[in-house]
Amino acid sequence: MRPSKRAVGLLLGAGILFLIGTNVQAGWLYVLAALLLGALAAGLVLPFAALRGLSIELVVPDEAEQGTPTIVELRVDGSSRGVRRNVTVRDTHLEPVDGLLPPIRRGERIEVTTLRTPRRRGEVVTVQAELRSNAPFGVAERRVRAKLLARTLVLPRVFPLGNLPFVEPIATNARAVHEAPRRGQGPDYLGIREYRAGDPMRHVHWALTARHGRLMVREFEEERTRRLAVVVDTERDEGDAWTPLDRCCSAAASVLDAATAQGQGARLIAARPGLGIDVLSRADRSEMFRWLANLQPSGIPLEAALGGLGREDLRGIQTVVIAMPVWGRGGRDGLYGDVRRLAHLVPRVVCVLVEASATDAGSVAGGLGASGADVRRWGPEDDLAEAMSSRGVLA
Amino acid sequence: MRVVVALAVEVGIIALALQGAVTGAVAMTALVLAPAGYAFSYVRRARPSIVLKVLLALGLVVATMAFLQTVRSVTTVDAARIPLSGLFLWVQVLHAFDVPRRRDLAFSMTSSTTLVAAAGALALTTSFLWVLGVWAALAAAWLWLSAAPRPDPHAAPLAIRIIAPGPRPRLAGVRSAAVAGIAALCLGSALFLVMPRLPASLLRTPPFSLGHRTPTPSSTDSVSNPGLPSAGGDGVVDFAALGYPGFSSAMDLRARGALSDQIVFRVRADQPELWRAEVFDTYDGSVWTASDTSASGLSLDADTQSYEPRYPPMEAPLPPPFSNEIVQTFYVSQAQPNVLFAAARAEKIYFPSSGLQMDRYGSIRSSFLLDEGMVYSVVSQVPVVPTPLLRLLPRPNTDAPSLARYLQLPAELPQRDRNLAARIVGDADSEEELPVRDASGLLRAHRERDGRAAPRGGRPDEDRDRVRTGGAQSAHGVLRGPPGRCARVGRGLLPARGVAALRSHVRCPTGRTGLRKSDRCRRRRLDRAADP
Repeated sequence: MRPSKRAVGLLLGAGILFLIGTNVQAGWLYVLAALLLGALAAGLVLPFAALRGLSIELVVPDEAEQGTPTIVELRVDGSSRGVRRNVTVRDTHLEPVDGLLPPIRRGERIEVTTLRTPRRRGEVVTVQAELRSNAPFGVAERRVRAKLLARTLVLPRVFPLGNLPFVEPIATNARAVHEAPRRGQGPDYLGIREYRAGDPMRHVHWALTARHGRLMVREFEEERTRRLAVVVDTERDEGDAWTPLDRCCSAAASVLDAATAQGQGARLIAARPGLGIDVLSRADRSEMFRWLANLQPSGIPLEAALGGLGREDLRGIQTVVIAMPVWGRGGRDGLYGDVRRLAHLVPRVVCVLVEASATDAGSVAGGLGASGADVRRWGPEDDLAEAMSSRGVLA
Repeated sequence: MRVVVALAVEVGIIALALQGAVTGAVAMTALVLAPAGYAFSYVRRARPSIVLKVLLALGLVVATMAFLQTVRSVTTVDAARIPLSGLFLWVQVLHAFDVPRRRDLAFSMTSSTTLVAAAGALALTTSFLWVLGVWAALAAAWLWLSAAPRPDPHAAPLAIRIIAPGPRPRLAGVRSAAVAGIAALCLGSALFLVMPRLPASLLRTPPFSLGHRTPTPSSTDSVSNPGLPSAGGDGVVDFAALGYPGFSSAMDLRARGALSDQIVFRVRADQPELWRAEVFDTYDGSVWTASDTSASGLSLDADTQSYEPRYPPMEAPLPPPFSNEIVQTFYVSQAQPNVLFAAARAEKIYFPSSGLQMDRYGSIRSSFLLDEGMVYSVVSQVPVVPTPLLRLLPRPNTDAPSLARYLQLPAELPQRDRNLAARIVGDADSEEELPVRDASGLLRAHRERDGRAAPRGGRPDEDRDRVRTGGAQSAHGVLRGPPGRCARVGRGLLPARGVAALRSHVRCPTGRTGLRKSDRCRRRRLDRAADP
């Protein structure tokens, strides 16, 4: 129960009238003061019954895209006698919304369809909503928290990027994913089997050989497509909505979306809290987006993630895209060295610098460019497609 | 909502007009302009109103100048309420032309409250209840309507669907509104009943104003009662419809007749109290008179603008908390004698004329008759001694010479009355117990007798068993009943004086009391605390 300014006004008015009535001996002012106090008292007492018997339910989609309006339906059922007026529902699922409900009578159900734009990426779980009513006089507001359960995974926002200069279309009509893999000399593991004559010794899996007492070798998937590796810097994050990490994930998702549209395969690499460096390969588009949606700040520097990538991890990769926020002016010599090393391992390294408004990414972009990376700078007000199609710093 | 606010403002204007705070022409103009202003502001609510604001500011300046001109002729703070009400009325009317938002309507509603409060401060009759009731209903409607939250335009729902099991009941909204209104009314009534009635503490000068200024036909130190008929053949002045014979130089208990039910004056006071007019100390078995008719003039205190009676040192008031200061303001509705009614003991008298006189018993007379429209205020120091403390007082020494005047009885008083007094007193051992025994004893005595009204002009000692039917009752220290017998038996018990006084008949819960002509009655007050 929260008294409103009106309650203070009524109390103050009654006090003034009582004071004047006392001093000019005007009894009608007592009556007037009592009426104001009566309205105040009724306004404080009646809201206790204003929310009785109401139950609430949220009907939400399983998945939504960050920044894209999504339909959420609110259902409120009334089961008690009387009319529930001035009822507002406040829930924060995907986006804080205050919904004003029409009067609810006994046995009625109110279905309110709202359009909400998810502000944050990741899984959104709502376990309660707040029902409010200031009926009948707006003197005090009664608030009740109603329990519910609503769960939505907010995927990173995807911007259409079109043809990217560092994502070449492949010459085959076969899709890069969704087909049964065949053995070959591709970059991804397919399985383990016993050694056969003719197998190269560099495919021997020495640990399993020691365990089984037999010579075991790795089998690889046949390489049928170009591959793209996207590394997301998850060291830290800040802000409430459209944070630097959200933007990095959005850039990664947009690049993945453009790459899969060109028939390229993709591999996702990021540090995850509790898991260390996590690599997602052989995943379809929605699985990759869900993986990106669940990325959280890990506290692991980007240098550590890049330094852990060896030649085996980058087998078959033509392009490495690094989506990283720029936090400050400081030089990152370790990062430059890792990028320089990657540039020797893969044909192309692209760095997408997610710039905040207060940062100057010029020095970082220069350092990365000098290390052999193709730098794309994405400012807070910039269009991602334009940023990705123009080079910030020539390698 | 705008209509409700406009109606509430109209009710406020009507309330002010009914109390005479503004002239009829001004009220009519305001009644027309205010709704026109609300309609105008509704039409123009979305347009910029800089020019309009400037024009309204100019109008306010004109209204303020008119107020300043009017207020120059005001002599008391109380009288300034009327020009202030007029000023606020014009402020309200001008404000009605610029209320584009819901918040502005709230200001208008506050202004309407102020108008009704100003009218309530001036109202003296219960007919104001109707105005207040209509305004309260409108105010509740405004509270109800304005409490509805405004939908957030940024989170407007795409669709709202209501799934009802059957047809929606039509009167459900009316029923819930009625429940809320009744709850507010009940709680307000309960709060009104428990609301403390505090004495005025901030008011420097209570209201007083002159009526028609009719001078008394005789000298100031005597009582002039223009409503009395001439004496009959037996020398007894009987009741007239508008004149009580007790308000004169003597109170003849043989007078007969009936008074009308017209209200003679209204009183605002913190608490109910007897309004004493005249005091007599000599009783001859039929007529009460004052042995000392000399009176002295009261001087005006320049600081307080009040007349302050000076009492003998031995009549000093009891100190707090054994006395209570009350302020009584009298609004005279019918012509009255030149006797000021006031609770004993008057400390300050705010009277609109000079020439006040007070006799040694505390009766105050003016040089003007109390005419219709006259207003005066009296601040009195009323003793409030707790009963247990009074019981500690010993029985008065009835043999003391200083009390002989208040124990005086006619020489021909029958012995059976003296025996009755002695029987009633019995073994009472305190002064407090005497009037209680007096009351119960007299009541018992009257019940034992089949009383009949005393014949016209009959002497009590001749028809001592034929007293008027009626019982003695004790109420707030006042004995009411057959006054002749009360006097004869009562004076045999303890010192007593005869008092011609008034008691409220119509008591309004708001603290205002009205007095009808028929409420005048002969009283004998056992005024122990004020008596020497």
